[in-house]
Amino acid sequence: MKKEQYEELMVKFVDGELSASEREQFLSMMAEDEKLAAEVDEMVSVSRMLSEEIVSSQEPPYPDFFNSQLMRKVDLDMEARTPVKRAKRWWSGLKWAWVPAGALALVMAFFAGNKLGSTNPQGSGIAGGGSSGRGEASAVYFAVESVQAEVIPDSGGNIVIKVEGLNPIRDEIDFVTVSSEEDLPAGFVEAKVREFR
Amino acid sequence: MKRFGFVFLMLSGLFFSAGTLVGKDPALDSIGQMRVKLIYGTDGDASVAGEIAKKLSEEDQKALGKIKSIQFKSYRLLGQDESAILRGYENWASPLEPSTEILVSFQPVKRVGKKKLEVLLAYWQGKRKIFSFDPTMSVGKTLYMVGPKWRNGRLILALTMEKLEVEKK
Repeated sequence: MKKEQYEELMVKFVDGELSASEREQFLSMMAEDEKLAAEVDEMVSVSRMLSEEIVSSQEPPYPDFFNSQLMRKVDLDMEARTPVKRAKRWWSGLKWAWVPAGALALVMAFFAGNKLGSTNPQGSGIAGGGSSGRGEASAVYFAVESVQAEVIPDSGGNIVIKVEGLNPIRDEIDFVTVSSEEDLPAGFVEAKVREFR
Repeated sequence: MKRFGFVFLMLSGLFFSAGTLVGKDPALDSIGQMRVKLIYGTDGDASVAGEIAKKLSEEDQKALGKIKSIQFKSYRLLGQDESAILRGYENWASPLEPSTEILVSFQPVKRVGKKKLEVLLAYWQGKRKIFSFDPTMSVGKTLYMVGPKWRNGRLILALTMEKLEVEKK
């Protein structure tokens, strides 16, 4: 028998794990070999001594606390192994509002464009109601210093304004000949352009 | 997420542009009608006004006869123009069309009641603004402006606000 087989049988004998036939066989070997018997005795005594000194199983103190701490460790370990989750943003709960908010923004963009498109370059127009408080014939503003005007309200509701000091129109002007349009007032040209749109 | 933002931005731009195109300029609303006549008045021979001059209507002749401050023996119509009064724009009348020797511009300032409108009138001669005036004109009434001398007479501008639309609420 090889040495490894001896040792295996010896360990099993000490631990009481041999079958009846094996035990009988091993005892007869011990009877024939004093050295083996001494070695087995020594192992048995060491084993007995160890089992007396060390309790085979002992309940941990405070088992509930121990288990909870153990589970916490396990959870932390699992969390450390799983991929990092993105922090939830506050607006992630408002996903349902995105569609109406987007639609509202588009409508507002439309009306903003509409408002801009209707902007009048010369002012927003006239105000309604009220009275000028200055009468129906108001002040005259002269672009040429030599010109004077007399405003004469007529009893029939008409207004007459007599302008003096204007340069006479030359008699050779017949109003038939078309004058050059190079120096026409800008507002007049703009109005003509507007008519053609 | 970035792609969604880009698409949304593009859509917003499209809607904005559409609104710009669809938006009608309220300043282009016509709120009335102005007729401008250029009349030649003289105590001499009215035929010197030339072929451009036409006989003045009985109605206009009669109306002028009632104006004490304008008393000429003869009148002739040199030309007339009718123009819409646009709410927010400077409007123009050129009664001697195609000649632009005499022009009138007018812009609404404010309504005074239902049938009156304060306007800023300007008289242009030889393509220069000579003066401006802000009368309150009444529908159907005429503003006569006795202007420059010409061929032994005077040129008279007669501006009549023929129509004033009722303001939409």
